Amino acid sequence: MLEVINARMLYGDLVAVDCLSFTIKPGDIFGLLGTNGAGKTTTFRMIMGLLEPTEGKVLYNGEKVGYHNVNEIGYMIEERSLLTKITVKELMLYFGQLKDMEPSMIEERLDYWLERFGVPEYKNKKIKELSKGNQQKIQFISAIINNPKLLVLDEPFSGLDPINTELFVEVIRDFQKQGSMVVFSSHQLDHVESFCEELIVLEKGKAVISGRIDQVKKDYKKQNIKIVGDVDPKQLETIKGVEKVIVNANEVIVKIENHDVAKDVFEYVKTCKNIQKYDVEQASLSEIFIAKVGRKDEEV
Amino acid sequence: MKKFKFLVKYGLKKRIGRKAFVIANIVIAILTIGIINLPSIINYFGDEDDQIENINIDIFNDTTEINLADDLSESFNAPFSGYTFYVIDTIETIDIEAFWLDSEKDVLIEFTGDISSPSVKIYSKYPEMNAGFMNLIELQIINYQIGNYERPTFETVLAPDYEDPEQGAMLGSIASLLTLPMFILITMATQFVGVDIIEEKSTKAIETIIASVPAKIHFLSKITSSIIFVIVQGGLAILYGTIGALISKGLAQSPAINLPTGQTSLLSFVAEVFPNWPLILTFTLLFMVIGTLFYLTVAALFASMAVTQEDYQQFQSPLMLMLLGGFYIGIFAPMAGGDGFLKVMAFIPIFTPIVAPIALAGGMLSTLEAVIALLFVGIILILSLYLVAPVYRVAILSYEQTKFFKRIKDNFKKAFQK
Repeated sequence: MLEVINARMLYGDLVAVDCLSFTIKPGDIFGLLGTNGAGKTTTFRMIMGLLEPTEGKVLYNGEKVGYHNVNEIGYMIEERSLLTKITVKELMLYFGQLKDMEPSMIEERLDYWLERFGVPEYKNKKIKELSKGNQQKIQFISAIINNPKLLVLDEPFSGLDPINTELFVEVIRDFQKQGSMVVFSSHQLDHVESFCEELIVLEKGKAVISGRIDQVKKDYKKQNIKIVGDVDPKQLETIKGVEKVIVNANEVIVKIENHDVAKDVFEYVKTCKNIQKYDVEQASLSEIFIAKVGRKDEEV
Repeated sequence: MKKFKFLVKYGLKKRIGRKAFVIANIVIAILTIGIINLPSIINYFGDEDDQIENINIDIFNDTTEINLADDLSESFNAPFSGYTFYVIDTIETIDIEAFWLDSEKDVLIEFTGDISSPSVKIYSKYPEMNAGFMNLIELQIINYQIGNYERPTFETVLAPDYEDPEQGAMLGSIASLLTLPMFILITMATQFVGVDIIEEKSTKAIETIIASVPAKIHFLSKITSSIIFVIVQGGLAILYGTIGALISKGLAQSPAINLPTGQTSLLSFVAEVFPNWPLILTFTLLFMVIGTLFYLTVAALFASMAVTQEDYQQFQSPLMLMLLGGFYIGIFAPMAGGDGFLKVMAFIPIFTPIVAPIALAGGMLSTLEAVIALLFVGIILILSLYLVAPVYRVAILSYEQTKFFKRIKDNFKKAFQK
């Protein structure tokens, strides 16, 4: 189990992370979201023991994370962190032996993962000769080569095409099945939504949203109604509780304050002609994120 | 400990397995063997005009052997035919003062006593040839001895105003011999440690590495692998030196190489000039190891603070300039007669590794003073290790791109703020 308890990290006067608490149990996939500079990387570094929290603590199976238990953890940082002048095999032997693995075991696992990611021919190629996406695969393999019980992934899907993203997701799910804990960050909120059960959204080091995704969505009262048919947007806007009406090419989206408003909208829609679709949906994670963080124009 | 050993092994393999290592060693081997055999090479390719053509020798014979001068003329000229011509004159009286002043005269040999065991006094303006003269005289005297062999008693006298023409160049040669390999080795090691660290840092691989191994172990492993590299490279340099000496010995026996009598190679010359060479060599190695460690520590600190290769090249330039300064001081100060200056520089840690062995070899530094200088640089090294290790831990994961001095200040502040 990984416990982050009231962790606070200061860089001089700057509060990078403030009173952050969460728990990840074996088999959990946990999402850590936030805008750039929200404190995600600092949190990952605290989890990895690279940074000592100014206050609070990070415990892995009840113990402080340190070099005695780091061999059970896999870590993939946001940017490419590969030694580009050496071959894939040399890199894995280097990183793997730093995790106290035997060279024969490293090679055995490397062969398996290269095969699974469909790139067995890259074993003896220099990293710099690989494409960005394939480098990302190698970096991911370097994080999982030690078969970690805790997998820390900072932006694992960046730069990947949809097919390879699916491949990564499959592997992460396999780790989940075998009881590993996974904590990851991503800018692609649709992945987070489909993929993890629990999350925290950080803003200026503070958790602005936290909990199970279904609960987060439930707690966020606002909903969307998707309508296909001959409705008058102006009429819809006059209904009390309707916040916004967006007219798309094929459908009209009505954003409402809470579920009760849906009844009033439905009453109006019943009076309209040619209605093919009337669908009340919970707000997407992206909407919740934008609403909570409040910076629509910024990259998530 | 296991990870430390692995990192040291990895670092060494990376350095020694490089093409640069092989190329550098070929160059070092050629240079070392070449320098050692320089006198032979110069003699082999040298212009014959440079050689002494006529040596005017006066013989004062106070023995009963009347043919001595003629016999000596024959034996002196025989083995050197085509190279040097010895003009032998017999003189009846000796006027030493007049001899020293007479530019036409080069050597005066005085024979006294019985011819079977004479006393021979050699007044020579070319003392480097005395050994050759003595060998030839001894061979000649054997011819006059029937029965028991008895070596003549030799005495050599130098001109009162004699100045060894090689004495001035001597320290320069020694300085080059000591400083050049040290300078090359320290520069190579410093470059290796810095480039190695910055390569891992600039590719961000350092974060994955430091997540698996403590920064302190990483730092110490880099320093250790570099110093082992220096020792291995130093050992190879000694091997090249030995090969050079063996070649030199072989060349000295070759008739094609006409070395001045008694001078077979630069090494034998050094051994003759510095009878305490084992002490000098020991101190040189100690200064080199401790000095390199000091330079490596500073280089590792700079590399940990740099973010890119360009950054590191910029940061390390003051260090390289200091090293270069030490090199020039070591080379030129002895030749310029700056004994006091050299002695002072020998105690400044940044210059000690290169300057102190020269000062010790040149006699400007006593053994005790050399020990003090060594202890001093050792203490500075230990202090810098204590100081740099925590800063390295902070700096290695920092990607701040502020100005050099601000970065140093900030990292020191962060490292010691608790």
